[in-house]
Amino acid sequence: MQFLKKQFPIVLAFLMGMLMFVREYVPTDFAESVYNWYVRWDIIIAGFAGVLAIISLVHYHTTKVRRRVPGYGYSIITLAAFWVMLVLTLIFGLEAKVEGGLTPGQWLYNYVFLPNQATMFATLAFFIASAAFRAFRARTAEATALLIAGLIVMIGRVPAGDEIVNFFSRLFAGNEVGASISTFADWIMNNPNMAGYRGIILGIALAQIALSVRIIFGIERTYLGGGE
Amino acid sequence: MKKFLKWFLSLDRRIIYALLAIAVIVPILIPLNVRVYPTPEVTGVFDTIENLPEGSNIMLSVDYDPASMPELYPMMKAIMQHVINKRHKLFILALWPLGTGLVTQAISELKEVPGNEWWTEGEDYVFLGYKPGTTLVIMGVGQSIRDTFVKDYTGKPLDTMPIMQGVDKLKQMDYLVMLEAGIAGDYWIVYGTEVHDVPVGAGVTAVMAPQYYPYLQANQVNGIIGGLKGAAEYEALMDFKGKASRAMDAQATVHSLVFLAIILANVFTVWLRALERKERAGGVG
Amino acid sequence: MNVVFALLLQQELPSGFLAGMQKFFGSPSMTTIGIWIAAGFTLAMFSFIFGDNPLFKLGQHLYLGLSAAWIMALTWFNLIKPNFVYRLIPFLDPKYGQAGATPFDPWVIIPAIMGMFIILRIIRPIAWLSRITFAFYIGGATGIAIPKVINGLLLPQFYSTINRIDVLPSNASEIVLLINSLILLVGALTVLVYFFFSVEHRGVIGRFARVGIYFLMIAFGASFGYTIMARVSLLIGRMQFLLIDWLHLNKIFPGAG
Repeated sequence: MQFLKKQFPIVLAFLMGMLMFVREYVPTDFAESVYNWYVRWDIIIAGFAGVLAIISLVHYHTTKVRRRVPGYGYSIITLAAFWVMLVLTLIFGLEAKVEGGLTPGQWLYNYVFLPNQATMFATLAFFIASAAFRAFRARTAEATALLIAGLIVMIGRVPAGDEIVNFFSRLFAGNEVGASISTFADWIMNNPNMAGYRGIILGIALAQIALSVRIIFGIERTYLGGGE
Repeated sequence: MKKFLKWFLSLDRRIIYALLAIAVIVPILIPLNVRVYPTPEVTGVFDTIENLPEGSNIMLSVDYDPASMPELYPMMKAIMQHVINKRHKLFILALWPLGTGLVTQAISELKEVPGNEWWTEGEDYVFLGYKPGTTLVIMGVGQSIRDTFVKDYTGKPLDTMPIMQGVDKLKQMDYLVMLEAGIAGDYWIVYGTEVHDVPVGAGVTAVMAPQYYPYLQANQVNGIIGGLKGAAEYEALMDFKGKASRAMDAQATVHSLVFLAIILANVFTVWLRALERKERAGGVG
Repeated sequence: MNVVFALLLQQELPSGFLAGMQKFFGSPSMTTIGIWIAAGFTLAMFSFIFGDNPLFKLGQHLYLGLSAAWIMALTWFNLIKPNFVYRLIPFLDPKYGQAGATPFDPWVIIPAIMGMFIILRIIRPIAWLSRITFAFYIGGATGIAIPKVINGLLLPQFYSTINRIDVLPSNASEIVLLINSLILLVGALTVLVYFFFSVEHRGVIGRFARVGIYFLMIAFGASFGYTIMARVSLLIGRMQFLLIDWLHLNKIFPGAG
């Protein structure tokens, strides 16, 4: 029992990891079929993991209601929405089979879920604008680099930037300068910005490889989760 | 002067909100019709779909949910309409669960567009539905679409569909377009298109767009459609004025407003500091 | 109970009832009601900009419940049914015995058991069972990831960082290309140095890392510009819904959209 709890998972992770790694370079029939099974099976396992998350959510709100935690009224709303939607969707399906029809689940998705989720993120526009006005200052050299790149990309990536520059150059110089800001924004995106993210991607790739090696050899075990 | 600068720099946030709302609402109601010029990033995706021979296999991976709908939904519809115009075969799948409702909505809206009446489920397009496990689904599609998905979104068997005849693997796709609001796009590249050598175009939210430039430069994607602006460019390439193109007026005014606000705030901060320094010097002297 | 199973597994409701229900929910009056409800929730969510309030909380909690239920139902219809139930018990497949029937595959019971292990995490004494599943899942994933990340990410990205610097420039555009290539090379390498925390950032390494910070700042600046764009786009999308789809102001303002 102790072996099953402690050593077996480490051994299993090592065997699976090595087998899948070796398969890439020495594809044997056995490794190939294990790979096929692995993909086929783990999609099902991933589904169960998702179900666990939802069970936890329902459990959390049910407990809140049962214990009458302040604000439990909102938990009742979550639970009611959950059960109504679930039952209706299980009975009437995900998608209407009648031309121009809607299932009740789709109707709730379109007119209740969708506006709520979409608007929740749309409100961020107000906060980001207000925050940018208040806090976005060229205090240090680094912040100045960030500020200048941000401003040029922001104005250069929409039609407004070139129009503004052309307006002033018509006013003062009498001729248009063409796509000036947007060209500069393009250059930033394709060169310094790209170089910065290239470094980040290379870093992520190296870190991912290192982490994978640590997991295969049982050095990294946090993914196995708590419990004794 | 000092008073004005201080007032401006600590402007009531409600005034900022109101200005922002006006900058969005007015251009929606009274269009300015700003011009949208397609960038090479967007043209890369458009040209690939445009130049493939009729009846090519296009896979569309829908990996977003209503939180990014205003950006990616017009893009998705423009791409789907383009695929319909070119009479390509369309294979749609979803790696995010909450985006599936948007796919069916787009399909039913597109079916009502005049000229699309011939577009038939199972022959010209298939919505494979959602499977959990992102990388696993991508690897599964690389092995066998039929074995991974078994049935389509509504439970119809894939085996008997005309569109699935002779098609079962990612490498048989002529082009993959991924609509990304998260990390699934990176997985598509690492576990899917690089392994099976499938060209791929990325339609991403504006937040994600800058991160895709290294992939573009390395030819790991052949185009980036970034956010609503990218969608508007795609619409412009298709000679069609949809929701994205119409939104560009408001986008331009708000960006100008925020641009102006940040510059003024910075200039005024420096100015205020200079005034204060002068005062202090004067006080001492 | 049989009816419940029929409903869940085969979806063979009386077709007249089902069609009537679907027609009802797709009818113009239900659409109008839906748009009004959606507009109400849109405004309720927008009220958050003036601070947290019960209306916002209502919308938020509704959305939470609905999305969880949608994922649950989707997992059932799109995963458990086709990939597990039909494979284990083929005669439940409505296409049983016809073309397109799902072939029998008893082995899917194994991932189902392993999946149950994950769910049993909520029972403390047997929570350790989930370790077996995680070991299988993560162990395999890491073994697959190493070669895929090397071949699909590390090498192509690294190669494209250095491959443009191969010829001496002979004209103006080639000089520009060379400068841009050097920017890329310096930027990518210095950012990488910055992320290399095992060595103290002092001396030459420290100077490299400082250059890396500037590249990161420019990249984050670009991201900032794009993030503003994204948030504004979302706001425009919701405003288009309120002004056009709900209030039909395009009837008053010609050309609005």
